[in-house]
Amino acid sequence: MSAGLGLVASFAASWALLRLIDASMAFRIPLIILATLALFSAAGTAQVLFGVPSEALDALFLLVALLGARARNPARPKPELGTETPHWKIAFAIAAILAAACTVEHLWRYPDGGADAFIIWNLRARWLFRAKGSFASAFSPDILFWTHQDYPLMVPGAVARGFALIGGESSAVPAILALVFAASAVAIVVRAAPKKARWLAGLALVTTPNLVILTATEQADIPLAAFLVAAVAMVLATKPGDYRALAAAGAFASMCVWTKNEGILFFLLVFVAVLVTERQWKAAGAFLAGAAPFLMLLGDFKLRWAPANDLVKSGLGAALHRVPDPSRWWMLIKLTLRHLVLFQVWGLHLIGLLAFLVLFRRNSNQMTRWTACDYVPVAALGALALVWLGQPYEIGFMLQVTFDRLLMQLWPAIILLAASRAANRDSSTAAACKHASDH
Amino acid sequence: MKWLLERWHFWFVLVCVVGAFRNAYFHLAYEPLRAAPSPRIGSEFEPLRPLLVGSERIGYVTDQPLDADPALPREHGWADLRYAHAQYALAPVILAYADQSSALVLANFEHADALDRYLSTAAFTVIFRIAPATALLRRR
Repeated sequence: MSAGLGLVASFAASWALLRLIDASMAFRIPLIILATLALFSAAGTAQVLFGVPSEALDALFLLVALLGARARNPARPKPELGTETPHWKIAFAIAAILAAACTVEHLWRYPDGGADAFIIWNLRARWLFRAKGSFASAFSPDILFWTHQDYPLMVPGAVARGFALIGGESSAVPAILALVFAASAVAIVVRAAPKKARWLAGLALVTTPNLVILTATEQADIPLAAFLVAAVAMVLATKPGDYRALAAAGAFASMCVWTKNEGILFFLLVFVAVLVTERQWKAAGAFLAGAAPFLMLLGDFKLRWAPANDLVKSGLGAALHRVPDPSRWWMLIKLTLRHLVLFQVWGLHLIGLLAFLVLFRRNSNQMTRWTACDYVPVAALGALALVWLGQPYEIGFMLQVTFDRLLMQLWPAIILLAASRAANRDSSTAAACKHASDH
Repeated sequence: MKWLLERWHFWFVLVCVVGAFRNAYFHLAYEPLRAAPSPRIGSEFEPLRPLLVGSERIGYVTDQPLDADPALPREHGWADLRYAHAQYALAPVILAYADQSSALVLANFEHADALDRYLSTAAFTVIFRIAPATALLRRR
């Protein structure tokens, strides 16, 4: 009963807050779903970790919903200009159904998910659900380190509350959540991309083999990708002086932080993109205000509960000594090139993206200069390369187990940004041609 | 042909079709026909759960080394996986690797004869032998 009320309260608060942003209903729906899951998860975790009564959190969410519903929402956005081509829409629908069928097939066959799902995420969900008040044992140093006791609890929290909702542990809960997170990421890409490129962007995403692989194995990388693309989409959709949208962007970026440790990097990069784009303290304040609840949750979790991260424990000085090692650089370059052509995981998508970027660069002009947001995935990959070089483990092993999933976390945002650039370039080229013909 | 190669649509569709084909082939053809059915992870340890009610922490011993030091390269994947299966099934009971001082110990061996040898030398009695090489033990 309390989990059911929690879900309703989380949905009501998400709906009421996101109705205040200037966006179409189709764009808002996946954002509301993501926010609902995040609040639902965080409230359950706060209840277990910090002893906050669930009724108090539900009441708070319902109060927020009431206030949000009473607030004046912005005027309905004007319909976007541009045309949709029906054959791309049909192709997207077919490919999306195929990807969903493939994902369901794998989830049905392997209901406990992939290795990380039962070693980390669903293990922690069981701990939350079974131990309740004595959850602290989940962070014991007696548990082997590769179960990563320091990882944030967005996914375990959502799964555990799902268990509470249905009154028992069922493999259907993490499976459905995996599908919902993936579908939300796809829907955000489709709805946030410019109209003429939206079905192409969606098609590129749902035909990426790694999307199906990581969704079907219930990895937290897909929820992280969904929150990141939501944050990036909100920043892209922000009009000058629209602090509500920036607060929403901050909230989604902070949900990345509560999903996986690398979400901290993504949060910082999106924040820098907002600072560079807006150049106003009020904008930064709005972003941080939206982010505050999840940042506080993470801060408390890291300071009071989680053991130190093994990468952090190894020390910055030692990491800086490892970074210039030529053998590590050679391994990084070699394995990066190998993963670019890793057909089983990426098909031809990475090669296609590189070809797109090269051709786009060659044909771009001043009007289609990259924005600060465009640099978020580029900077993230640069920072991750430094982490790979500086971390204490064998670099080949680390790349083997992390490269594809880290790139997948960025992938929906990369597709959205590429679609936005391509559509803007077409628009500016058409405008330039029209301008030339007028004169 | 030249016209086709110059159209970006052709390349875009090629990339998407290849990706969709890979998904369809692997999940809708290869897996249903060739992949072995997977038992539920850790289901073999489920009978132990009622015996561990009230225990917060038990020992975990095995005849294979595990990756227990984050400073060393990971090289014991199979043994790690067996520990992970047990921990997943028995959560929230902590499985303390190599701890033989606990009142209860889970012996999760690869080989039954290795478990027999361990039982003949160590100071434990068997509470429940759930498989030839796996047993819940109590310190004498």
